Amino acid sequence: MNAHLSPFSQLSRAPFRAALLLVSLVLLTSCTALVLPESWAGLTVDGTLQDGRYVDARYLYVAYRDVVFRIDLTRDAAGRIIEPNQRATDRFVDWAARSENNGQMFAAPALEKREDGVRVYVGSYNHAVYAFAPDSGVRNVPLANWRAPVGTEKVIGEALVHGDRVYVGQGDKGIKAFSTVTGALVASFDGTDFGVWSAPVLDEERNALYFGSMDRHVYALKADTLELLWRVDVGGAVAASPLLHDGVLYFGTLTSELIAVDTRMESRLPITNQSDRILRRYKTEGWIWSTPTLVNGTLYFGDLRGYVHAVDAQTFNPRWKATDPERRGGIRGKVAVVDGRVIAGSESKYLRAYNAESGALIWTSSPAEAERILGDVVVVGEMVITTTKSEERLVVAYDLLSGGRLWSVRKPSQDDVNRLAQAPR
Amino acid sequence: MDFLTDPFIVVMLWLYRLLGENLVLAIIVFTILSRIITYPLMRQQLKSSKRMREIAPKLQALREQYKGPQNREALARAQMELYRQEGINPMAGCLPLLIQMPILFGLYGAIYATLATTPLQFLDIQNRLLIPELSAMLPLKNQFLWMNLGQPDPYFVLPILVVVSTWLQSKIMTPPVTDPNDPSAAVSRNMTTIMPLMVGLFSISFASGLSVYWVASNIVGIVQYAMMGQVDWRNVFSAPKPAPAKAVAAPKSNAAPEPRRQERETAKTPATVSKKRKLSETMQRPAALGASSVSQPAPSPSRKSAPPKSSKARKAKK
Repeated sequence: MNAHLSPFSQLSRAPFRAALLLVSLVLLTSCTALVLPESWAGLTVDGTLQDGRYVDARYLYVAYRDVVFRIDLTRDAAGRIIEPNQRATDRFVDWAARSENNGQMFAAPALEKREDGVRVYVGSYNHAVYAFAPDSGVRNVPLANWRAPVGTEKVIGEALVHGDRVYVGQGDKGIKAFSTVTGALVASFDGTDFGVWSAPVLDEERNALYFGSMDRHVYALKADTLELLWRVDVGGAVAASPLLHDGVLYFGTLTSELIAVDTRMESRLPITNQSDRILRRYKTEGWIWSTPTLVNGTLYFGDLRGYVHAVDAQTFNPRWKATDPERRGGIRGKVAVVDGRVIAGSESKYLRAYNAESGALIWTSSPAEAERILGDVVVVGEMVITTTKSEERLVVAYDLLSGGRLWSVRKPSQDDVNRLAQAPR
Repeated sequence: MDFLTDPFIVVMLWLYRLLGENLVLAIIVFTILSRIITYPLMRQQLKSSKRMREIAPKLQALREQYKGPQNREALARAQMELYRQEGINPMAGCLPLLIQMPILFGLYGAIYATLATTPLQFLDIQNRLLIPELSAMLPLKNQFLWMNLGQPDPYFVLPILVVVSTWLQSKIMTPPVTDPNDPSAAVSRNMTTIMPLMVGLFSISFASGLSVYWVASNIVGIVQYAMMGQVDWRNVFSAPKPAPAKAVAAPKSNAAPEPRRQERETAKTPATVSKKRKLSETMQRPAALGASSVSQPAPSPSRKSAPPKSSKARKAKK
């Protein structure tokens, strides 16, 4: 008993308290407090989208943390051409580059096809948009003569390239347009109260640029000058790009609503809040953080409570909604709709395919190993491809028919980036 | 930890809405409320600390009396007996601190979560909103003066304020050194210096909203301490100096008496020393000189110290 007495007598002394405070502080800070620049990998397919499926796609472009890289879908990990019966073979990373000063890049790379090869634009948490030229001599770093400073905040959303302009939203507020030729600032709009975390969509016919902001508004700007045309208070933050179809914008909010806004009507309200443009609202279980997919008059999308919804685009009447109660996880990414199947990736580490007509579950994929699926889902040929939070299996491909895993690609290391820069073309 | 943090997130968002969507004000009011709620615990902790300081001379005397590893058990028994006689629970000073920890964790986590500025942080909030309607509040307006409250302060103004206020608070709350030879006193002094610097270092990398919380929390803590009449500003502005020793009888001690340390210290005492301190030393000197035992540390000279208890201790021994 006496052995226990001595420590008791020490408990109230200052060093003990100081040590307790120090340990608590370290625990607090190590658990929570550092401002970590975090998001999920951005994925872009170099191909033509037809009926929900990319055809003629050869490359996947991926941005994650300080690296942007390209996967050649036609070659295996050793660089050999893949035969048709070798679908389950790991793919070849044929190009990788790092940002400047360890700037973090999570947005899906925006592609511009040029005569001298493709150019890749990626926004960074390092307050800049970088341009990369994978097919040029400068392979593992951004182009030195093209750098678009955005301001003092990070770039979270992907860029939109159109003509000779790159449009990009800022993490804190506003949107900017840069010249694709020089990187110089061409136009700017700072009228949002919070950041723009997704790419704008362009209406060429009306010379308008539409985007949602985290300040709970949807904006329409003149595409050339970035002057405000109108905005609508939608009551919740808009984190993903809207879908523009027949003059109607469809988008989800972080107040768990799918909303349709008319872009063509003549509103009589002040341009600062033309709420009469709102056509319909549809309430969901969880936040909507993805762009809906429209197929045959039905909007398909997931919410962060793990439900996949099918909603009539004209009336917003629900057609079906589905979830897996046993392995429920939020659906952050855009769903793919191909061959009558709706394929959604979830935070529960699984992909699921549902019947587009009935919502019946067709298959559940093999788990994406250790990490949750947060990226968009794309279909290339007969492969379903998405990104995970695991650096070892950053990009994962599944079989469209069965959901079986085909291959995966890890995030390139610093050595990989250097090696690829030296590799012969 | 979510079960701790989630209710605080709701309170934080509710305050944000109530206070006109002013995030800094919400953090400050949030901090004040949490400090008020934990005030009884803090008071109990301070009371307990005070009692422990009051019996520190007796404890020191016991330590001197039972020196050596062979007397460790006897010392423990004697200490427990002393606690029993004085009606003190040695755990009482720490329990309130331990109880406050979860509150601190929850508070801190809630402020961090609501300051979300990256997509992943936002994703995590969605599952933690106990009242889904509060998602209409998000994201919070995090611009304040030159700062984005979700990012570190680029001009280091808040980290400096964090260091100063943490130092001030720890300086005020750290009891004066009672025994300069006690290694724990040295540790305590070092912590008063190191802790503010560490917190300041952390706050350079943290979201500045968390620094606002630290500063507000420190200021409220100082105010609370002052309301309890515990603040001695001389403790802040004077250099750390050991208090003069006070003799407590320990007849069975085998240790050699320390040769007139108090006299040496009195000689070293600058002329600027306070009258109160001089008075305290004057009161203690005869006991120290006359005792055949070791010299003992006195309670804080800044406080209305009780008269020397050596006679009482002697009686107790008899």
